[in-house]
Amino acid sequence: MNEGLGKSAALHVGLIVVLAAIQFVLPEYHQGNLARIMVLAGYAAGYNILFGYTGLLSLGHALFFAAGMYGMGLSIRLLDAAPAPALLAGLAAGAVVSLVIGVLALRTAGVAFMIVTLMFAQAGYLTILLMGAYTRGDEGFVISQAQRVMWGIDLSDPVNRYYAALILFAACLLVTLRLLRTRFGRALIAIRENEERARMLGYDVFRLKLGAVVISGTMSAASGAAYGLLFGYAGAGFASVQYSIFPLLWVLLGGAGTALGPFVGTLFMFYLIDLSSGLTTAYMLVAGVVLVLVTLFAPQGLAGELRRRAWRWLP
Amino acid sequence: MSLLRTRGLTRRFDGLTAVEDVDFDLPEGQVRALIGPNGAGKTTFVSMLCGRIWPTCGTVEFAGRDVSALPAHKRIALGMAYTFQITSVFPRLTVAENVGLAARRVRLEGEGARLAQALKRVGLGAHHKALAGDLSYGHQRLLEIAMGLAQEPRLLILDEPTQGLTDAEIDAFKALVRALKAATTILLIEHNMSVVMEVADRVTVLDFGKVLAEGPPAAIRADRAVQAAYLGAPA
Amino acid sequence: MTRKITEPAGQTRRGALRTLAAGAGAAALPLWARYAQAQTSEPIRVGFQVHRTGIGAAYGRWYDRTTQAAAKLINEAGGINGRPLEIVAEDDGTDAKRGAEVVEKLATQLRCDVGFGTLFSHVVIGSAPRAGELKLPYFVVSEGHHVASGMLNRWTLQPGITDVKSQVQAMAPYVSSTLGKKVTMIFPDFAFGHDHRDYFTAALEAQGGQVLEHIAIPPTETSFTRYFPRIPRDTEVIYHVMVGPAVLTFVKELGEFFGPSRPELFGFIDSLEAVSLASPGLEFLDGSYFWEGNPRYAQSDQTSHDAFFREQVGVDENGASVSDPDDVSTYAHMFGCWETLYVIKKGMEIAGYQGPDDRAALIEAVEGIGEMELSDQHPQGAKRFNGKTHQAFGHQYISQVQGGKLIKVHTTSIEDTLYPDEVDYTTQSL
Repeated sequence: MNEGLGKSAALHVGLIVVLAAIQFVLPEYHQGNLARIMVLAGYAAGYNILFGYTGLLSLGHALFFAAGMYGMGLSIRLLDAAPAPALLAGLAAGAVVSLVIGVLALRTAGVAFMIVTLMFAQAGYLTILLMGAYTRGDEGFVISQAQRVMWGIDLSDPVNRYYAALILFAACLLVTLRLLRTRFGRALIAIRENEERARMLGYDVFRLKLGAVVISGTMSAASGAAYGLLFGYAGAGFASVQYSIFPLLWVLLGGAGTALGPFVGTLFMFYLIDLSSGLTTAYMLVAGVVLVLVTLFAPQGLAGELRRRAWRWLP
Repeated sequence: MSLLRTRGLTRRFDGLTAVEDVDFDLPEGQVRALIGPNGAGKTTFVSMLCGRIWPTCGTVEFAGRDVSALPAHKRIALGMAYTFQITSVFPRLTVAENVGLAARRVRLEGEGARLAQALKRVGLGAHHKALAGDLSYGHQRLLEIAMGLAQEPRLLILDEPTQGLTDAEIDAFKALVRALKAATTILLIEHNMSVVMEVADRVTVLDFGKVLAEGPPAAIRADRAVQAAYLGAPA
Repeated sequence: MTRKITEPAGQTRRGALRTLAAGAGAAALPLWARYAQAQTSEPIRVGFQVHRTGIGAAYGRWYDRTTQAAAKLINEAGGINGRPLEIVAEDDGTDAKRGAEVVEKLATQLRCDVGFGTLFSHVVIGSAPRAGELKLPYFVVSEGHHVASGMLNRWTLQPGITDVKSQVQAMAPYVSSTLGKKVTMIFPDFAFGHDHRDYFTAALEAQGGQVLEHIAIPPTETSFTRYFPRIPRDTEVIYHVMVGPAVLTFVKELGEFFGPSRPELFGFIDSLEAVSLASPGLEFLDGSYFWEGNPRYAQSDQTSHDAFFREQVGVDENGASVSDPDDVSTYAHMFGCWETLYVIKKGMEIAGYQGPDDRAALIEAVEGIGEMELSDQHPQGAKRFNGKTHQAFGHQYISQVQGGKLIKVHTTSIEDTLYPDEVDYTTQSL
């Protein structure tokens, strides 16, 4: 186990170092893409906590992503907040929303949990539309360059944005890895593997799952808040059902229940769409076919397959 | 003093009464066997003890405290441990992780020793790195027991622990129960009469959800009503 | 019009001369400089952010056809500054996030000189910040008020189509003087509907009229009958701007609700863009009125410019594709692509645009473009570009459904569409 720990640390720290360094050689376009991918990988990492490690399939995570985005964005738009407190407001919004949704939705399980989270997210989406006076509904609103200067650092600058995205991603990755070393994290895995057994070992399954929802939701909200701040826009589209499906696809592709999977899946899917959209308008079909192929030939996702075949120690 | 005590414990499923009005007392330090034909309500009864299912009516007291309203995890925190009749381990985790999860109340630093000890006691010491799902059925049963032991419970409830074990493993199991007796109260659902006769201090017989008889093993073996309930099955 | 043609031609000649001179001097220059000069004969790349998929796909199809037709004409006439024009199209899925990514791709990967052609407001608003950061001139064809509201930045302009605020307020005089002063509004309960609610209510009150009731329809609604009892009895005009697939149901249920005696109906053709008026259920609209950005049916007083535009894009006199009468165009909006492309051309010629270094000069040139006359370049009508608010203002049309066709009954003046500036983008640095 300790041997695995060393390898795992080397791999993940290595990834962050590579991401920090590669910025200097990447063409501008890919540098921008990677910044986006890292922020979204944070979202996927949040989703992975609940889906990959706790075994709860939510179809409503866009609500948490949007809670962060609007918690941040509305603080700036309506209260003229500075970026740092606005980010904290986004995190707080995500934590509160996920706590409330968790308390309500965790009364159900399985398919009912999927449907309940889907309904809540849809209600959140409609709320954003109906509160158009504040949110500008489906059109959304711009967070201007002047409002995006945090501690004197202009987050609209490509290099600053890249490192801000990297910090967020690294934080999400480290939280995930740290979590897995705690009793709490291991109990989540126990719930995923065999919930009834975990209960009969004395684990308070409801509270553990609630904790997982809140951590997962808050991490998703952090990503949503960062996305809005780094790219200067908040819109209801990010709360739509599509954005609840995306993290599921990213995590499935990359490998549910692996710390690396969310990043791998997000990266893979981003370039899959980017490249195939240059070839055909049916690029979502291409993405679908690839997803089916991965499900058939690497059912545990890319990183999951890597763990199964070579790196048993992969967390 | 009774470690465990039930009064009027009853459970009905859609008009079918699985357990009816059971008054049950288990003194601390005793090994009690719970026997009865299939469908007699044994698993339902122990499930109500540890909170897996709620009784229709009646009370459960544990260590002098009414635990009837407590959810399973709180009863287990009080010192109950339950091993499943149908093997229920974490198949994709290693043997060591399975036991580690069971030893949840221990600080991480002390975990290694306790974990190794629990595995050694059931004879799985060599398998700690294996995935639980890769173990043979008999070894999974032993792992269940090890998970119970790792909790260092005051009351250990074992639901048909010897089912699927080889004769040698059953002998080892008997020895294990005898060794545990000093520290732990044990409630054992068991079909294997040689185990019952050799390890139990007392035996309770359930039939159609009611207590049919209770007494020392020899007396139960001789009881006509019990023999009738088993339809002449060899005791 | 003649002036319009000679001026670009002169520019072209000048550009050609410059290229020639550069070519002659090239042999004497070091290699890298020669390469830099050679670039000037490369095509000018217009990045076209197109809604090929998603909810905007019908618009995207026609925006594409219009754009390609205009680009072909421009190239046949010698291109821009002696260089051919190349349309580099990239689908944004009508999604704000993808839209921003597409703008990045156009600017950094596909090396486009400008971005162009976005319609849906959420995509514009999601993309414009990135265009501003990348200093990519971003020409939208959206009719949203986002540009003139000051929400965006100096790099975003809307010179080829008017915005919803001016469209809506220009309707109020006609509605109150001709159709009635007591209006009930029915609109979808999101930003597009809210714009209509706010701008029209204010404009109607300024005309001495009154909105009796605002009926906001939730975006998920598929049946509308239960909302109709809220229409006050003394309503003289119903103003409706429902959009999306439920429009046909809406019209049918409204018809069933009122029967033969109904108030006047006034709507925005956005509801029925790319939808044939012959669709079953739309008979009820006969006699009702619509705003049209550009009359879908060729009118009796059709200009030669409109005829030319139709012919080049491939649209028949009923506003449908010449190759498929069921393929109805988005005629009230798509002219904006055509006109915007000509504005880009003119701006580049004024700025002597050679490459990305001249992007700021291009913005300044377009800001100064001012009046545009009715011409083959501006077939929808004359326009006035406000360089401070980056928004064009132009004539609006009101048509009545008569025998299944839209017949123009009123043309507003440009003055009807004006409102005080809400921003001065020229104060922002480039």
